[in-house]
Amino acid sequence: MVPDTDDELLRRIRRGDEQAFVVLYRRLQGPIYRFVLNITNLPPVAEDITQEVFLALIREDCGFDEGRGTLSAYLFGIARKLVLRHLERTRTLAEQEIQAEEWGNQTLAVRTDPMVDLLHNEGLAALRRAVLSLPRRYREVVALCDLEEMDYSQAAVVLDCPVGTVRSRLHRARALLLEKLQQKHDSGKKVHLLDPARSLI
Amino acid sequence: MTCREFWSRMPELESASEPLDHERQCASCAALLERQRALAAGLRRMAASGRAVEAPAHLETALKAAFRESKGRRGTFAHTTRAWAWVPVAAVLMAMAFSLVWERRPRPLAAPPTVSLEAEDALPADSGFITLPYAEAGGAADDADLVRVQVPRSALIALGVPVADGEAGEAIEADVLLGAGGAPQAVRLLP
Repeated sequence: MVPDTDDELLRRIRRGDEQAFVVLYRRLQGPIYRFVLNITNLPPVAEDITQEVFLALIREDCGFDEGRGTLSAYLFGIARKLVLRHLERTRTLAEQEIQAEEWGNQTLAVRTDPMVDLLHNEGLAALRRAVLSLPRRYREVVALCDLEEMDYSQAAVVLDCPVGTVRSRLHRARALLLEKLQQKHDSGKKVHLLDPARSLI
Repeated sequence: MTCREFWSRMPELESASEPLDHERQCASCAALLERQRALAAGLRRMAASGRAVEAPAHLETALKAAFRESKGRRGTFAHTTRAWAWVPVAAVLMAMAFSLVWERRPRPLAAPPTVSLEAEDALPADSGFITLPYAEAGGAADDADLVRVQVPRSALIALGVPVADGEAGEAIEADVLLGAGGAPQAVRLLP
């Protein structure tokens, strides 16, 4: 049996079909929750924002317009706006930037080639920290395109920017991640061996 | 292809399965690309390891409750809205009916049965006309006109004309007898 599309589920939800709401919730709650978590690193905030996103869907005046993108992108867009509001309100972004600086001074688990180490759990932990230390605009594009495997056009709708901007931010984000991982590897040397984005873009 | 051109085609080329031409020719770009691919693989692992992370289960319960509450509220609201929606509709229909009677220039029917109207008892008993409450007792006339109109049932009810049950907005065909000044004096429902 072919599963209902998001749009079909939304039509049923608007007719008051609770089962359709549950199906749509179960389909999208994980990606939206993880997206928020990958940006804020705060589970309670991820929970609150996920709840807000679906409450917005329940409301009769939900402003989803099929012509402007998918329902999924619309809900991610709501989540992103709530994240931005949260960051502005709590200045979490600034705190995380400070944490990122502190992170830069820590001794890391990366002992050999940091890229080879990504195959191990320690390397993944270092990568996760590196992602969290990215500036927000790069973190969100990594969270969408790399971690939730969203295509660029959908990410562009969520981020409310052109597709080209998504591509360039993603490229820059990956360069920054490489740089950060390499810096840890070369900790103490303060030599930036890899800076492809700065040299090539 | 220059190094700049090569990197301007990222990140799509990272996923190329075959070594790229420039990769074969430029050792530094090849090394960097290798790292990019390792990073992409690491991100895929990170994504896969995070797949199991979901919102807490109690959130679904809370949202289902919110959905039911919203649905109930919407239902009540809709019912109330539907009921009240008839008030302006009825008012508009009545206004239309009155405007038809008051403002349209009377047009004699093909065989205009001009009726002299002075009062209720002036009407023939078997004419089927019902005198309206404000009909002019002494109004009269020779120049009274009969017009055929479609009047909303609700407008007839408001005028005190006995009509069968039915939709308030349904149009009923009727003959309206107009006095000398154009004011309606009596109405006759058509079968």
